[in-house]
Amino acid sequence: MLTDNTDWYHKEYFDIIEEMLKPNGSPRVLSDNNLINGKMHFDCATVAKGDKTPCVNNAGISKFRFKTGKRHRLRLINSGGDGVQRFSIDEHTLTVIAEDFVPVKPYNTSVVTLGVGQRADVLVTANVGKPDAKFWMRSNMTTCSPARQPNALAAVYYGKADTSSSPSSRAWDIPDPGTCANEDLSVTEPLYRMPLPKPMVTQSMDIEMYKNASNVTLWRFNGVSMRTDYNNPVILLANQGNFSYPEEWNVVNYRDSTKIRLIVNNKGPVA
Amino acid sequence: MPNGYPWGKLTDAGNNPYAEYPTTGVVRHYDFTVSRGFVAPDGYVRDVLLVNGAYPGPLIEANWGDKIVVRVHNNITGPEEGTAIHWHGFLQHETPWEDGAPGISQCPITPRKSYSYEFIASLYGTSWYHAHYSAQYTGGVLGPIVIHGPTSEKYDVDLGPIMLSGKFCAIGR
Repeated sequence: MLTDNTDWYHKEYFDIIEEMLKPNGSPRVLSDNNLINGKMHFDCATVAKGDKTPCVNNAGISKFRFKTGKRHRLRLINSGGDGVQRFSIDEHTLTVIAEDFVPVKPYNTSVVTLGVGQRADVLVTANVGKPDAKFWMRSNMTTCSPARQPNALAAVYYGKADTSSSPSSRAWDIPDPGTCANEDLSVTEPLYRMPLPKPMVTQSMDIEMYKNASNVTLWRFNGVSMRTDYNNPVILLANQGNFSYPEEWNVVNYRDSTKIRLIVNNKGPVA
Repeated sequence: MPNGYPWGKLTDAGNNPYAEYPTTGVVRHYDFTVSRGFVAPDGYVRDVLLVNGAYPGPLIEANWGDKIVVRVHNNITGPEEGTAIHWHGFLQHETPWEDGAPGISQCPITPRKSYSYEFIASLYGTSWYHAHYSAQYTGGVLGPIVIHGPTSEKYDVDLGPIMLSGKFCAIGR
Protein backbone atom coordinates (compact mmCIF):
# COMPACT_ATOMS: atom_id res chain seq x y z
CA MET A 1 0.00 0.00 0.00
CA LEU A 2 1.28 3.39 -0.86
CA THR A 3 0.19 6.67 0.62
CA ASP A 4 1.07 10.13 -0.57
CA ASN A 5 0.52 12.92 1.91
CA THR A 6 0.48 16.29 0.23
CA ASP A 7 -0.30 19.81 1.25
CA TRP A 8 -2.33 21.29 -1.57
CA TYR A 9 -2.37 24.84 -2.93
CA HIS A 10 -5.26 26.16 -5.00
CA LYS A 11 -3.14 28.74 -6.80
CA GLU A 12 -1.02 27.87 -9.83
CA TYR A 13 2.60 27.27 -8.73
CA PHE A 14 4.15 30.22 -10.57
CA ASP A 15 1.60 32.63 -9.04
CA ILE A 16 2.68 31.38 -5.59
CA ILE A 17 6.34 32.07 -6.39
CA GLU A 18 5.51 35.58 -7.64
CA GLU A 19 3.57 36.26 -4.43
CA MET A 20 6.49 35.07 -2.31
CA LEU A 21 9.20 36.93 -4.19
CA LYS A 22 7.59 40.32 -4.74
CA PRO A 23 8.90 43.26 -2.67
CA ASN A 24 7.35 43.03 0.80
CA GLY A 25 5.92 39.65 -0.24
CA SER A 26 5.27 36.90 2.26
CA PRO A 27 7.57 33.88 2.31
CA ARG A 28 4.85 31.88 4.06
CA VAL A 29 2.03 31.10 1.66
CA LEU A 30 -0.86 29.24 3.28
CA SER A 31 -1.70 25.88 1.71
CA ASP A 32 -5.42 25.35 1.05
CA ASN A 33 -5.89 21.68 1.86
CA ASN A 34 -4.14 18.42 2.80
CA LEU A 35 -4.53 15.27 0.68
CA ILE A 36 -4.01 11.52 1.19
CA ASN A 37 -3.31 9.82 -2.15
CA GLY A 38 -4.46 12.98 -3.89
CA LYS A 39 -7.89 13.13 -2.26
CA MET A 40 -9.74 15.09 0.42
CA HIS A 41 -12.94 17.04 0.89
CA PHE A 42 -12.94 20.81 0.59
CA ASP A 43 -15.53 23.28 1.89
CA CYS A 44 -16.33 25.43 -1.16
CA ALA A 45 -17.94 28.04 1.12
CA THR A 46 -14.43 28.99 2.28
CA VAL A 47 -13.12 30.23 -1.09
CA ALA A 48 -12.19 33.91 -1.34
CA LYS A 49 -14.91 36.41 -2.27
CA GLY A 50 -15.16 36.86 -6.03
CA ASP A 51 -13.42 33.53 -6.77
CA LYS A 52 -15.50 32.02 -9.61
CA THR A 53 -13.41 28.82 -9.92
CA PRO A 54 -15.63 25.72 -10.29
CA CYS A 55 -15.80 23.92 -6.91
CA VAL A 56 -17.80 20.94 -5.64
CA ASN A 57 -18.20 19.91 -2.01
CA ASN A 58 -17.55 16.36 -0.74
CA ALA A 59 -15.17 15.47 -3.57
CA GLY A 60 -14.37 12.18 -1.83
CA ILE A 61 -11.52 10.69 0.20
CA SER A 62 -9.16 7.75 -0.31
CA LYS A 63 -10.42 4.37 0.93
CA PHE A 64 -8.22 1.42 1.96
CA ARG A 65 -9.31 -2.22 2.45
CA PHE A 66 -7.44 -4.14 5.18
CA LYS A 67 -7.57 -7.95 5.49
CA THR A 68 -8.88 -8.68 8.98
CA GLY A 69 -6.17 -10.07 11.25
CA LYS A 70 -3.39 -9.61 8.68
CA ARG A 71 -0.25 -7.46 8.83
CA HIS A 72 -0.05 -4.81 6.11
CA ARG A 73 2.82 -2.74 4.74
CA LEU A 74 2.21 0.98 4.11
CA ARG A 75 4.69 3.16 2.27
CA LEU A 76 4.27 6.74 3.45
CA ILE A 77 5.64 9.65 1.40
CA ASN A 78 5.47 13.33 2.27
CA SER A 79 5.37 14.77 -1.25
CA GLY A 80 4.17 18.20 -0.16
CA GLY A 81 5.62 21.64 -0.76
CA ASP A 82 5.98 22.85 2.81
CA GLY A 83 3.98 20.94 5.42
CA VAL A 84 5.41 18.65 8.13
CA GLN A 85 2.95 15.73 8.35
CA ARG A 86 1.83 13.67 11.39
CA PHE A 87 0.37 10.36 10.16
CA SER A 88 -1.75 7.95 12.21
CA ILE A 89 -4.56 5.38 12.05
CA ASP A 90 -7.07 5.54 14.90
CA GLU A 91 -6.53 2.82 17.54
CA HIS A 92 -3.70 1.14 15.54
CA THR A 93 -0.04 0.94 16.50
CA LEU A 94 2.38 1.47 13.62
CA THR A 95 5.68 -0.45 13.38
CA VAL A 96 8.26 1.58 11.47
CA ILE A 97 10.70 -0.65 9.52
CA ALA A 98 12.40 1.86 7.20
CA GLU A 99 12.94 5.60 6.99
CA ASP A 100 13.78 7.03 3.60
CA PHE A 101 15.96 4.34 1.94
CA VAL A 102 17.32 3.10 5.30
CA PRO A 103 15.95 -0.05 7.01
CA VAL A 104 15.70 0.67 10.77
CA LYS A 105 15.34 -1.52 13.85
CA PRO A 106 11.54 -1.87 14.08
CA TYR A 107 9.94 0.47 16.62
CA ASN A 108 6.32 1.07 17.56
CA THR A 109 4.59 4.43 17.49
CA SER A 110 1.10 5.90 17.22
CA VAL A 111 2.15 8.86 15.08
CA VAL A 112 4.77 9.03 12.32
CA THR A 113 6.18 12.52 11.64
CA LEU A 114 7.49 13.24 8.14
CA GLY A 115 9.12 16.39 6.79
CA VAL A 116 8.92 17.27 3.09
CA GLY A 117 10.51 14.54 0.97
CA GLN A 118 10.75 12.05 3.83
CA ARG A 119 9.35 8.51 3.66
CA ALA A 120 8.50 5.82 6.20
CA ASP A 121 7.69 2.16 5.62
CA VAL A 122 5.32 1.01 8.36
CA LEU A 123 3.60 -2.27 9.24
CA VAL A 124 0.12 -2.32 10.76
CA THR A 125 -1.96 -5.31 11.85
CA ALA A 126 -5.75 -5.28 11.37
CA ASN A 127 -6.54 -6.79 14.77
CA VAL A 128 -8.13 -4.07 16.88
CA GLY A 129 -11.73 -4.47 15.67
CA LYS A 130 -14.32 -6.91 14.34
CA PRO A 131 -14.25 -7.95 10.65
CA ASP A 132 -16.70 -5.16 9.84
CA ALA A 133 -14.72 -2.45 11.67
CA LYS A 134 -13.68 0.84 10.06
CA PHE A 135 -11.25 3.53 11.16
CA TRP A 136 -10.01 6.97 10.14
CA MET A 137 -6.53 7.33 8.70
CA ARG A 138 -5.23 10.83 9.43
CA SER A 139 -2.43 13.04 8.20
CA ASN A 140 -2.31 16.33 10.05
CA MET A 141 0.07 19.14 9.24
CA THR A 142 1.94 20.36 12.29
CA THR A 143 1.49 23.82 13.76
CA CYS A 144 4.82 24.68 12.08
CA SER A 145 3.14 24.60 8.67
CA PRO A 146 0.97 27.53 7.59
CA ALA A 147 -2.29 25.97 6.41
CA ARG A 148 -5.95 26.87 5.96
CA GLN A 149 -7.10 23.24 6.26
CA PRO A 150 -4.26 21.12 7.74
CA ASN A 151 -6.10 17.85 8.46
CA ALA A 152 -6.36 15.10 5.81
CA LEU A 153 -8.60 12.06 6.22
CA ALA A 154 -8.84 8.67 4.51
CA ALA A 155 -10.91 5.62 5.52
CA VAL A 156 -9.65 2.14 6.47
CA TYR A 157 -12.13 -0.74 6.10
CA TYR A 158 -11.61 -4.23 7.50
CA GLY A 159 -12.61 -7.24 5.35
CA LYS A 160 -16.37 -7.18 5.90
CA ALA A 161 -16.87 -3.43 6.46
CA ASP A 162 -19.32 -1.46 4.34
CA THR A 163 -17.24 1.01 2.32
CA SER A 164 -20.26 3.28 1.67
CA SER A 165 -20.35 4.29 5.33
CA SER A 166 -17.89 6.51 7.18
CA PRO A 167 -15.80 5.50 10.20
CA SER A 168 -16.68 7.00 13.57
CA SER A 169 -13.40 6.18 15.33
CA ARG A 170 -11.60 8.64 17.59
CA ALA A 171 -8.09 9.94 17.01
CA TRP A 172 -5.17 9.06 19.26
CA ASP A 173 -4.86 11.71 21.97
CA ILE A 174 -1.29 12.69 21.14
CA PRO A 175 -0.94 16.47 20.83
CA ASP A 176 1.43 18.03 18.31
CA PRO A 177 4.63 18.73 20.29
CA GLY A 178 5.14 21.85 18.16
CA THR A 179 8.79 21.08 17.54
CA CYS A 180 8.64 20.65 13.73
CA ALA A 181 11.08 17.79 14.33
CA ASN A 182 11.36 14.09 13.50
CA GLU A 183 11.43 11.29 16.07
CA ASP A 184 14.55 11.49 18.23
CA LEU A 185 17.59 9.91 16.54
CA SER A 186 17.96 7.47 19.46
CA VAL A 187 14.63 5.92 18.42
CA THR A 188 15.42 5.51 14.73
CA GLU A 189 18.41 3.19 14.66
CA PRO A 190 19.61 1.83 11.30
CA LEU A 191 19.47 -1.95 10.96
CA TYR A 192 22.94 -2.04 9.42
CA ARG A 193 25.54 -0.06 11.34
CA MET A 194 27.92 2.02 9.27
CA PRO A 195 30.89 3.63 11.05
CA LEU A 196 31.51 7.28 10.15
CA PRO A 197 34.72 7.79 8.16
CA LYS A 198 37.28 10.32 9.41
CA PRO A 199 36.54 13.55 7.50
CA MET A 200 39.30 15.26 5.49
CA VAL A 201 37.33 18.52 5.63
CA THR A 202 34.75 19.71 8.18
CA GLN A 203 32.59 22.73 7.43
CA SER A 204 29.59 24.39 9.09
CA MET A 205 26.89 25.85 6.88
CA ASP A 206 23.99 28.02 8.04
CA ILE A 207 20.53 28.25 6.52
CA GLU A 208 19.08 31.73 6.99
CA MET A 209 16.19 33.85 5.79
CA TYR A 210 16.73 37.57 5.13
CA LYS A 211 15.37 40.57 3.23
CA ASN A 212 17.41 42.13 0.43
CA ALA A 213 17.54 45.86 -0.41
CA SER A 214 14.26 45.55 -2.36
CA ASN A 215 12.52 44.04 0.66
CA VAL A 216 12.30 40.66 -1.05
CA THR A 217 12.51 37.75 1.38
CA LEU A 218 15.22 35.29 0.31
CA TRP A 219 17.06 32.25 1.65
CA ARG A 220 20.78 32.13 2.17
CA PHE A 221 22.88 28.94 2.44
CA ASN A 222 26.48 29.25 3.60
CA GLY A 223 26.16 33.01 3.20
CA VAL A 224 24.96 33.01 -0.42
CA SER A 225 21.50 33.32 -1.92
CA MET A 226 22.02 30.96 -4.84
CA ARG A 227 21.11 31.71 -8.45
CA THR A 228 21.16 28.81 -10.88
CA ASP A 229 22.12 29.32 -14.50
CA TYR A 230 19.97 26.78 -16.31
CA ASN A 231 22.12 27.16 -19.43
CA ASN A 232 25.39 26.25 -17.68
CA PRO A 233 25.22 23.00 -15.68
CA VAL A 234 28.11 22.93 -13.23
CA ILE A 235 29.09 19.29 -13.81
CA LEU A 236 29.31 19.93 -17.55
CA LEU A 237 31.65 22.90 -16.99
CA ALA A 238 33.70 20.88 -14.47
CA ASN A 239 34.01 18.07 -16.99
CA GLN A 240 35.35 20.63 -19.46
CA GLY A 241 37.97 21.75 -16.92
CA ASN A 242 36.24 25.03 -15.96
CA PHE A 243 36.30 25.43 -12.18
CA SER A 244 35.74 29.19 -11.81
CA TYR A 245 32.11 30.06 -11.31
CA PRO A 246 30.17 33.17 -10.25
CA GLU A 247 29.83 33.49 -6.46
CA GLU A 248 26.03 33.41 -6.78
CA TRP A 249 26.20 29.77 -8.03
CA ASN A 250 27.34 28.90 -4.49
CA VAL A 251 29.69 26.11 -5.61
CA VAL A 252 32.24 24.85 -3.05
CA ASN A 253 35.39 23.20 -4.43
CA TYR A 254 36.60 20.44 -2.11
CA ARG A 255 39.42 19.55 -4.52
CA ASP A 256 40.66 16.00 -3.90
CA SER A 257 38.84 15.43 -0.60
CA THR A 258 36.89 12.18 -0.61
CA LYS A 259 35.39 12.40 2.90
CA ILE A 260 33.64 15.64 3.85
CA ARG A 261 31.65 16.44 7.01
CA LEU A 262 29.03 19.18 6.69
CA ILE A 263 27.35 20.57 9.80
CA VAL A 264 24.13 22.28 8.71
CA ASN A 265 22.53 24.78 11.13
CA ASN A 266 18.93 25.74 10.42
CA LYS A 267 18.67 29.35 11.58
CA GLY A 268 15.56 29.96 9.51
CA PRO A 269 12.03 30.10 10.92
CA VAL A 270 10.74 26.84 9.39
CA ALA A 271 11.46 23.10 9.51
CA MET B 1 16.92 -16.81 -9.24
CA PRO B 2 19.74 -17.25 -6.71
CA ASN B 3 18.27 -18.09 -3.30
CA GLY B 4 14.79 -17.30 -4.67
CA TYR B 5 15.26 -13.51 -4.85
CA PRO B 6 16.64 -11.13 -7.50
CA TRP B 7 19.07 -9.96 -4.79
CA GLY B 8 20.20 -13.50 -3.89
CA LYS B 9 21.46 -13.90 -0.33
CA LEU B 10 21.87 -10.18 0.42
CA THR B 11 19.83 -9.09 3.48
CA ASP B 12 18.79 -5.79 5.07
CA ALA B 13 20.59 -6.49 8.38
CA GLY B 14 23.68 -8.19 6.94
CA ASN B 15 24.71 -6.10 3.94
CA ASN B 16 25.57 -2.44 3.35
CA PRO B 17 23.76 -1.26 0.19
CA TYR B 18 26.14 1.73 -0.03
CA ALA B 19 28.98 -0.77 -0.56
CA GLU B 20 27.34 -3.60 -2.53
CA TYR B 21 24.19 -4.17 -4.53
CA PRO B 22 23.05 -6.87 -6.96
CA THR B 23 23.25 -6.52 -10.72
CA THR B 24 20.07 -8.10 -12.01
CA GLY B 25 20.50 -7.13 -15.66
CA VAL B 26 16.80 -6.21 -15.71
CA VAL B 27 15.81 -2.86 -17.28
CA ARG B 28 12.52 -1.16 -16.31
CA HIS B 29 11.29 1.17 -19.05
CA TYR B 30 8.91 4.08 -18.44
CA ASP B 31 7.60 6.76 -20.76
CA PHE B 32 6.53 10.09 -19.21
CA THR B 33 4.87 13.05 -20.90
CA VAL B 34 4.69 16.25 -18.84
CA SER B 35 1.92 18.65 -19.86
CA ARG B 36 -0.48 21.27 -18.57
CA GLY B 37 -3.99 20.39 -17.48
CA PHE B 38 -6.71 20.88 -14.91
CA VAL B 39 -7.51 18.70 -11.90
CA ALA B 40 -9.81 19.00 -8.91
CA PRO B 41 -8.48 16.48 -6.35
CA ASP B 42 -10.53 18.10 -3.58
CA GLY B 43 -13.33 19.50 -5.77
CA TYR B 44 -11.69 22.87 -6.52
CA VAL B 45 -10.51 23.08 -10.13
CA ARG B 46 -6.86 24.06 -10.50
CA ASP B 47 -4.27 24.69 -13.23
CA VAL B 48 -1.61 22.03 -12.88
CA LEU B 49 1.24 20.20 -14.57
CA LEU B 50 0.66 16.47 -15.04
CA VAL B 51 2.69 13.34 -15.78
CA ASN B 52 0.88 11.21 -18.38
CA GLY B 53 -2.29 13.21 -17.68
CA ALA B 54 -2.42 12.23 -14.00
CA TYR B 55 -1.84 13.68 -10.53
CA PRO B 56 0.02 12.06 -8.83
CA GLY B 57 2.05 10.60 -11.71
CA PRO B 58 2.46 6.87 -12.42
CA LEU B 59 4.28 4.48 -10.08
CA ILE B 60 7.86 3.47 -10.89
CA GLU B 61 8.49 -0.05 -9.61
CA ALA B 62 11.70 -2.11 -9.76
CA ASN B 63 13.79 -4.64 -7.85
CA TRP B 64 16.98 -3.77 -6.01
CA GLY B 65 19.79 -3.76 -8.60
CA ASP B 66 17.57 -3.15 -11.66
CA LYS B 67 18.26 -0.38 -14.14
CA ILE B 68 15.48 2.22 -14.52
CA VAL B 69 15.05 4.05 -17.82
CA VAL B 70 12.54 6.91 -17.97
CA ARG B 71 12.03 8.76 -21.25
CA VAL B 72 10.63 12.20 -20.36
CA HIS B 73 8.83 14.22 -23.04
CA ASN B 74 8.36 17.92 -22.27
CA ASN B 75 4.95 18.80 -23.67
CA ILE B 76 4.48 21.92 -21.51
CA THR B 77 3.00 24.59 -23.75
CA GLY B 78 0.76 27.67 -23.43
CA PRO B 79 3.11 29.00 -22.05
CA GLU B 80 6.17 26.86 -22.62
CA GLU B 81 8.49 25.87 -19.78
CA GLY B 82 11.57 23.69 -19.46
CA THR B 83 11.51 20.73 -17.10
CA ALA B 84 13.74 18.16 -15.38
CA ILE B 85 12.89 15.26 -13.07
CA HIS B 86 14.79 14.41 -9.88
CA TRP B 87 14.80 10.78 -8.62
CA HIS B 88 14.66 11.47 -4.90
CA GLY B 89 17.12 9.48 -2.76
CA PHE B 90 18.94 7.74 -5.61
CA LEU B 91 22.73 7.79 -5.23
CA GLN B 92 23.61 8.22 -8.95
CA HIS B 93 27.12 6.96 -8.13
CA GLU B 94 28.23 6.32 -11.70
CA THR B 95 25.66 8.65 -13.29
CA PRO B 96 25.75 12.14 -11.70
CA TRP B 97 24.32 13.66 -14.89
CA GLU B 98 21.05 11.75 -14.35
CA ASP B 99 20.17 13.49 -11.04
CA GLY B 100 17.65 15.85 -12.64
CA ALA B 101 18.78 19.18 -11.15
CA PRO B 102 18.81 21.76 -13.99
CA GLY B 103 21.80 24.11 -13.86
CA ILE B 104 23.74 21.57 -11.79
CA SER B 105 23.60 18.22 -13.57
CA GLN B 106 21.87 19.03 -16.86
CA CYS B 107 20.26 21.69 -19.01
CA PRO B 108 16.46 21.68 -18.69
CA ILE B 109 14.55 19.50 -21.17
CA THR B 110 13.30 22.20 -23.55
CA PRO B 111 9.65 22.35 -24.70
CA ARG B 112 8.74 19.63 -27.25
CA LYS B 113 12.04 17.80 -26.62
CA SER B 114 12.77 14.55 -24.77
CA TYR B 115 15.46 13.13 -22.56
CA SER B 116 16.03 9.55 -21.33
CA TYR B 117 17.19 9.19 -17.74
CA GLU B 118 19.07 5.94 -17.01
CA PHE B 119 20.15 4.96 -13.50
CA ILE B 120 20.60 1.97 -11.16
CA ALA B 121 18.35 1.24 -8.16
CA SER B 122 21.32 0.68 -5.83
CA LEU B 123 19.22 1.35 -2.69
CA TYR B 124 15.79 -0.14 -1.95
CA GLY B 125 12.58 0.90 -0.24
CA THR B 126 10.11 3.73 -0.86
CA SER B 127 10.76 7.02 -2.58
CA TRP B 128 9.38 9.46 -5.13
CA TYR B 129 10.26 11.54 -8.16
CA HIS B 130 9.48 15.19 -8.69
CA ALA B 131 10.23 18.03 -11.10
CA HIS B 132 13.31 20.00 -10.06
CA TYR B 133 12.67 22.97 -12.39
CA SER B 134 11.59 26.05 -10.40
CA ALA B 135 8.76 24.95 -8.07
CA GLN B 136 7.05 22.84 -10.76
CA TYR B 137 6.57 19.89 -8.42
CA THR B 138 4.13 21.85 -6.27
CA GLY B 139 2.25 22.26 -9.56
CA GLY B 140 1.76 18.50 -9.74
CA VAL B 141 4.83 16.89 -11.38
CA LEU B 142 5.51 14.10 -8.89
CA GLY B 143 4.88 10.41 -8.28
CA PRO B 144 5.89 7.38 -6.18
CA ILE B 145 8.80 4.95 -6.53
CA VAL B 146 8.94 1.46 -4.96
CA ILE B 147 12.19 -0.54 -5.06
CA HIS B 148 11.60 -4.06 -3.75
CA GLY B 149 14.40 -5.44 -1.57
CA PRO B 150 15.10 -7.69 1.39
CA THR B 151 13.06 -7.19 4.59
CA SER B 152 13.65 -9.14 7.82
CA GLU B 153 10.29 -8.12 9.25
CA LYS B 154 7.47 -10.36 8.03
CA TYR B 155 4.09 -9.12 6.79
CA ASP B 156 1.12 -10.75 5.08
CA VAL B 157 -0.23 -8.20 2.68
CA ASP B 158 1.59 -5.89 0.34
CA LEU B 159 -1.51 -4.48 -1.28
CA GLY B 160 0.66 -2.75 -3.82
CA PRO B 161 0.48 0.94 -4.47
CA ILE B 162 -2.96 2.45 -4.34
CA MET B 163 -2.83 5.52 -6.52
CA LEU B 164 -6.28 6.96 -7.04
CA SER B 165 -5.17 9.79 -9.27
CA GLY B 166 -6.71 8.08 -12.32
CA LYS B 167 -10.10 9.09 -10.97
CA PHE B 168 -9.41 12.77 -11.40
CA CYS B 169 -10.85 14.42 -14.45
CA ALA B 170 -7.71 15.73 -16.10
CA ILE B 171 -8.52 17.82 -19.14
CA GLY B 172 -5.56 18.65 -21.35
CA ARG B 173 -5.42 22.05 -22.94
